Amino acid sequence: MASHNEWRVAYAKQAKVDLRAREQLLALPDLPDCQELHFLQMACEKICKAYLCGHGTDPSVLQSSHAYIASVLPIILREQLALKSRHLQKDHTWLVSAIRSLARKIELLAPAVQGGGAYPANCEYPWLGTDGTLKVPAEHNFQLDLLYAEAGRHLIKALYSAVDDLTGVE
Amino acid sequence: MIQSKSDVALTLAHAHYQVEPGLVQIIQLLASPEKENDPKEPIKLLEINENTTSDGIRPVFFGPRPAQGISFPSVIVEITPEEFEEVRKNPSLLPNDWLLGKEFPRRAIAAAG
Repeated sequence: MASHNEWRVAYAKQAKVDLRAREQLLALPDLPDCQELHFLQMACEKICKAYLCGHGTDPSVLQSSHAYIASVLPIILREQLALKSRHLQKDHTWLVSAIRSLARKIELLAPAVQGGGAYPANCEYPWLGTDGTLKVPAEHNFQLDLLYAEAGRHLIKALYSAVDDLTGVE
Repeated sequence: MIQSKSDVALTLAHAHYQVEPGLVQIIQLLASPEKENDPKEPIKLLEINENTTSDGIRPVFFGPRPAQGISFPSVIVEITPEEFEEVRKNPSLLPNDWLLGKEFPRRAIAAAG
């Protein structure tokens, strides 16, 4: 029977592979946004599950849901700021708030997370739009570009940092 | 008109200053001239940001954004002002033999833009 920490490391290792896959896909010309965002969403989800396993959550509970990013990613970021910020006196409210907003948007990219049906857009499967037309992920503008979003670059840096922290053996 | 990497780097730096209140300085990172002549070689920006964590050099990759005038892939490296002091003293801390290049100061960009 695998321990919680073994699950933590396993999720974190797989998240690292998702992040690498995202990077490698970026070399493809005309890559649809949905493909990059799909790997980003999967990496975030696994990092959050790794974090929860490391904090004692039963791994079997985590397998039934994709909706952990919005609640857990801001916690991981706050912990990183507490441990790795040389500006402890600095107010990080802006950064945490920006990351919280991005985390919610990333969580909604998973097809199983629809925000009560309000956000059927996702990176994997076609969906029926509110106007009755069929929407294709590869043709959809998700209005989520971390190259331009507030704290977008920091979020990806934080993911790589979290992966390194979570793969560490205690 | 085809924009140079330096022009596109300036466009990107301008966009980042507009959304990042903790950003104090942006410096272009350069690979060897041979590599920089390759359009597949990304634009690389070292962003000195008071809001980021002191967590070493962690390059973050992005694809081109032709619709926004970013015709090259890009790499952003966010570091703290203290980490930048270390890099300035010892540029070999940068990966891939990258060198410190042109600076895009916030004030100069604000005045121009």
